[in-house]
Amino acid sequence: MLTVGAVLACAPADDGGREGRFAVTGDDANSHGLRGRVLPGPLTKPDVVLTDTRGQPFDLRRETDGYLTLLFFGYTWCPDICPIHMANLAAVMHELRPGVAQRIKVVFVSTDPDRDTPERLGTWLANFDRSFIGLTGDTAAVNAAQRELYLPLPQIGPADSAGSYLVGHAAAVVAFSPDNRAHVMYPFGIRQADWANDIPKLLEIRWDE
Amino acid sequence: MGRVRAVLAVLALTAVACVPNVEDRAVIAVTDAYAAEPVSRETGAVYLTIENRTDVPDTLVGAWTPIASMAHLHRMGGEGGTRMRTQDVAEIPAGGRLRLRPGDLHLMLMTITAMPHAGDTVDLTLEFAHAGTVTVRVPVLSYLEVSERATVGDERETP
Repeated sequence: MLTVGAVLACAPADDGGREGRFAVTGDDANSHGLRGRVLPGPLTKPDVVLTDTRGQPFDLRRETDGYLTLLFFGYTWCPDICPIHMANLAAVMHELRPGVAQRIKVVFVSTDPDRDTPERLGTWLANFDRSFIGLTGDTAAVNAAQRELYLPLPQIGPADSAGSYLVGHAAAVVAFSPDNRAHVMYPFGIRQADWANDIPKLLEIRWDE
Repeated sequence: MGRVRAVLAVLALTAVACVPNVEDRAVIAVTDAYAAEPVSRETGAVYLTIENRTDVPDTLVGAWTPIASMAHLHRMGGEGGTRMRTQDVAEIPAGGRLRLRPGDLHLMLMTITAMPHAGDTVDLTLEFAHAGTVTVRVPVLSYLEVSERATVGDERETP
């Protein structure tokens, strides 16, 4: 039987007034040839300590300092946006020149702390790439981090007859350059070839000038 | 290998043949169907396009697959947090179509009893209020392959 669920989930990242924050700022801003959306201004990395998939504390700033850090907020029950982002990143990481992947950290933060235990998150991420970092934390901490990045906060959809529910969340990957600031974000719809184009640039661009 | 390809070709033909009399008279047609290789047993997703080639509106009222205990129709997000009403989600207007695609609308498989892998096919039966049942054989794609299909962010493809 079919239950039709009008369920809010995986909302595209841009919502209402915040949308302008992620607007492409014109040819000049993207003169680097990036396929991601260049932010009008850089964002700082959230100062947050979460829990990794082994149950250990993970200080985001300290553990990712100096790495190209690709930060995504999602959940493991997610039917497409999350696994598609992870599959694309896993594929491109696999194709990078030797030594390059070691300069990158992919960080997946769960927006569904009730269901995404560290163990489950670890198992789920390992389906894509064992190097991917999975983090969980209490809702307040995770929401605060998303707020700092101007991402829409997660919304828990209504449960269906089986008790399952979808979680609306930001659909974008936020890319923190080795300077620990985010200059570019990647909305849903970005593909492996786009990452392959952008990752070497993200590692080399100096944003200071 | 050649034999495998031949079998797949036959299966692809079967999927079309399962749609009753597509060429003969106006019907419900199911096209561009594919499933994502599930990452866990809890969640799977199927995408397809339903074309209502009749002159009356029809409604998707049921979906079954032998590999999962339930198939739900889910609308993702919606810009600005719009919620779709049930009828909006499942109705296919006369002469119109309902398109399920990543980031938007999907048929959600729950409690997957037989995990399919990329390259497999799964049977999916859809029931419509007027047109009755339509069974399609759906290829299973990796999420990477799903990504290469049109997504909601890709507006170059005309709806």
